[in-house]
Amino acid sequence: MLPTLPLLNDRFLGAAAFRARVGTGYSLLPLRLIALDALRYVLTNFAGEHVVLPKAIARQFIRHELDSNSAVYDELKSKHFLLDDDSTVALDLLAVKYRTKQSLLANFTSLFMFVVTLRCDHSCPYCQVSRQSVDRHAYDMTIAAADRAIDFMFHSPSPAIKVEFQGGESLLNFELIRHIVTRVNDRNVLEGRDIRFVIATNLMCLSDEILSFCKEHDVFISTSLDGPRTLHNQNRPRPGGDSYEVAVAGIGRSREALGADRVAALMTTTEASLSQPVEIVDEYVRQGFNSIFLRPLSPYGFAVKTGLVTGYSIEQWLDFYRRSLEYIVELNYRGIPFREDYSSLILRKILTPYPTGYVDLQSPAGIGISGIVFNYDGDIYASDEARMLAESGDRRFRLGNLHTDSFEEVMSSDNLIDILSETMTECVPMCVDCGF
Amino acid sequence: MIKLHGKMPKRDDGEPFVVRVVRGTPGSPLAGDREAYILGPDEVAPPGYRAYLSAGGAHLQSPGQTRVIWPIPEELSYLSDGDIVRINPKTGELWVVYRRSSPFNAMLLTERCNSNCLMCSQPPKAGDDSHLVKAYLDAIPLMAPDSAELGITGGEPTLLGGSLLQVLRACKEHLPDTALHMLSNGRLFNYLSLCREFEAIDHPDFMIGIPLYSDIPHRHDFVVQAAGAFDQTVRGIMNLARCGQRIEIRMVLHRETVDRLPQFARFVARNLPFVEHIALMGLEMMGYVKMNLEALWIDPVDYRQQLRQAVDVLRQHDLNVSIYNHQLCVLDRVLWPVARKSISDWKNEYIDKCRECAIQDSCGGFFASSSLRRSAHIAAFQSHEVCSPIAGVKKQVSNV
Amino acid sequence: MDADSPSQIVLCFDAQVYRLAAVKKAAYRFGDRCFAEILANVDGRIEVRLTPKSKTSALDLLEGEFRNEVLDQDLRESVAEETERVRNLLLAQAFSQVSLTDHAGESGDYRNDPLGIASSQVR
Ligand code: SF4
Repeated sequence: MLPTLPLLNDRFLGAAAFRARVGTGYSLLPLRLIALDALRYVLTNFAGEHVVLPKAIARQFIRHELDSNSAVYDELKSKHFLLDDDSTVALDLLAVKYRTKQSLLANFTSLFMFVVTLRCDHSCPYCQVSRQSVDRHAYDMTIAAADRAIDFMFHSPSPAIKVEFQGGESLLNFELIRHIVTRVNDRNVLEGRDIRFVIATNLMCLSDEILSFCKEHDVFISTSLDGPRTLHNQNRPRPGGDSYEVAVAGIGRSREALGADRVAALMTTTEASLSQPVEIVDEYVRQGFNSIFLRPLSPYGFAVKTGLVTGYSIEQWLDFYRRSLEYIVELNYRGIPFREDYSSLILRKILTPYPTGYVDLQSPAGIGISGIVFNYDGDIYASDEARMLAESGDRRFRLGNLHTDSFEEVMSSDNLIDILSETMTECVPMCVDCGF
Repeated sequence: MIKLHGKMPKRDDGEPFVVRVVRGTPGSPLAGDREAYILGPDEVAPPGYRAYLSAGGAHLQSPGQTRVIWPIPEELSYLSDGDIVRINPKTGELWVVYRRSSPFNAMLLTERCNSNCLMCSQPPKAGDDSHLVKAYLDAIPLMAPDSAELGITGGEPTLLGGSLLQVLRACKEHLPDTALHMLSNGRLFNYLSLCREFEAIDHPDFMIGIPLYSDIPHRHDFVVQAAGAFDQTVRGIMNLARCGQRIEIRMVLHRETVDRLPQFARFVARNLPFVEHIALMGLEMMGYVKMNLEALWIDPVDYRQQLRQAVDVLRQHDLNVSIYNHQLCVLDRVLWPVARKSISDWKNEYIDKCRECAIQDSCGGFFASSSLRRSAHIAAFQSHEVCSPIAGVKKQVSNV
Repeated sequence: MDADSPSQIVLCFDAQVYRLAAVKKAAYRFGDRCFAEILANVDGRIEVRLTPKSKTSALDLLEGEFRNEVLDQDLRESVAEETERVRNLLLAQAFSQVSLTDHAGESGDYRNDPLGIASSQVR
């Protein structure tokens, strides 16, 4: 006997009357599955939602044998893995969610990196591109090239544009940065884009003049901080051996002049970093940052291949990552709000309907279509790694040159299209089926 | 609970009319044909008003008094300057349409509805009630332009079609600084054409509160007693969003909605993340709830866990969530910051136990109607149990 | 290579139950671990010969894993077949400015209520 449920007044229909549409069978909505471990599958759907199921249940579900009265059925239905006669609005919702996830793609290229010079005063072993030359002209971007780059940039339909100045050490050619910022802003009076400038710098040649220019034009500063003094100085040698002191002092000065939210730091994980996860995080906390982006050395191994730096294995990296993350979680439990940016990106991808715009984690890859690099010599590359690869001789990812090629030519070049289609997980064998 | 309707002697001399009440200083009335003057004791009626009201009966006998004077029913003696009333001479009905001093006036535009929710506090009635819209269209130009917020409710206002749009336009024209909040089941917004009309009106501060009761379509349809309603409402919400309208989602917590509360929250966060606010509301013992009391009542303490999980999900997704009509002592403490104390005329009642309570000031207390059923877990807090003041609980004027 | 050689295993799959594509995909997935030869339609069966690339792989383990992989791949194939149409519809919908699934809501006039939404439910 079922327990007697309190009855509704008889002018109302019972729940069963509305439930009748269910139970007449269901159809599957697009989904992927992959074994999570020996017993479970993770199923992901068209819009990136997921559900973890025991393998037997998942098989039942896919064979249309799932009981429509079960809790699993409702979960799969609520998350849009199945469709029954109850409702069709799932289709509209799925389409909107998919479009939301892809929304950044439609905006096309929005990050433009200007390599204003290759010269640098540091001699970091993992850097493949800097030159210690005194010969300004050989390794500086020319005004003519910069102007063509600006034209090129405004050809992008993106309403929001980020201009990043790279090096070498970008501030060694501050005059060109000043020229570009001024010219872009002048032009933007008519264009009306949302433009943000960032200078990536080691802060060595920071001056009041530069800071007041940054303040005036709302330019952000991005620098490197690899960890505590010894580690940072070891990673980033320069004459005097004080790159850490320079960075910390520069961060302080920039914050004071521009505001804390205008100054960011990036770290590179070298082999020496691997044993110091806690120290590195502590250093970031001490310097007043509320997040860190834990990044491995580029696995393409420019530095590693050439033997300038000792590489490390994925396992070593993961171990470092795990320990850092554990410590960060612990900090948060202790009431110190601190974020690991890579995890944040991943969680955002898994748990929200929004895209991240992070070029390394999208399909197709962000190369070219999300970000593009103008090298000092006018060459156009699909990404920062692409130009580094070119410096070591492999020019596969070079898309053209500012002096000879137009925006349309570059963006529709076979070279770029080929690269893109090879990075579309939707088309790569195995990738198309991957649940992740 | 404050009374809005009263009876006066019938007079067969005309059509119903809407007037703003003037109490205190008679001047040369600017809009005298749309105003009613309340006479002070022994006061002789000043000229130029559409009608005259008297709080007592004295004026009726005073000599020299030639104008028709309506005696204000005892229960409406609170009427004051700036209030708006509708007088129906044929029936003697006096209806208080708008109260100047109320932080939140609601305009009930129709009693007709295309749903029939199990817990409706204002059960739908069929039949012609176009006099409601007409009264409000007359009243809107008389309302104080500095009113903070005005509500539109029903019934289902969208059933009115063109006359609803007329009301919105009137609000935009006469009360551009007054926030407008409409309650609608959202189903007719399934027609993009209706959403486009709202978009075209472009009211400067307009929000639509739309109830959604489950992530599972047939469960929602059951609660609102209309097959297909879930799809229509969800499409409606999406259409409104396409047209740039601001949306609030409203969930009433009772036995038939609390089970899947966390899943519901996840569904909203994932599918409708653009909504501006999510209101989770306690059951009001009015209307149909009285008929379905046993079927719908659940002690709030028994859904604490689901409520906590749901709020966690919504907050993790950076959504703006509020809990209404819940006593603080039945809520998980971490939910106190999202508990809202609504200020209106028929809420904020307290029971004996509350007298000892250290946080009564922050607690919304009970509906007057709650005498029908209350949580078995109402328990006063000692002052040492709570750090005062409870900063989280915001007082809020609202359409709840 | 000799089928009886211990360095090779032969697996059979019922072609009624398993799709050839699923077996192929499993073989592709195992490409880093073994060479695979697939013989389709041997008396209604699909025959697979696996030769490990390294001598150290345990053959029985390999067999179990390969069978599981075929099962997984076959599930994927059946999902893909069943959902292809709705997938295309969704893609079209995602990049279309109008709703393709609800024509009446998209272009119907609310005043005529073609979907009959306005009718009363009071009983
Ligand atoms: S005892 Fe009364 S005032 Fe105190 S929290 Fe409970 S309901 Fe509110």
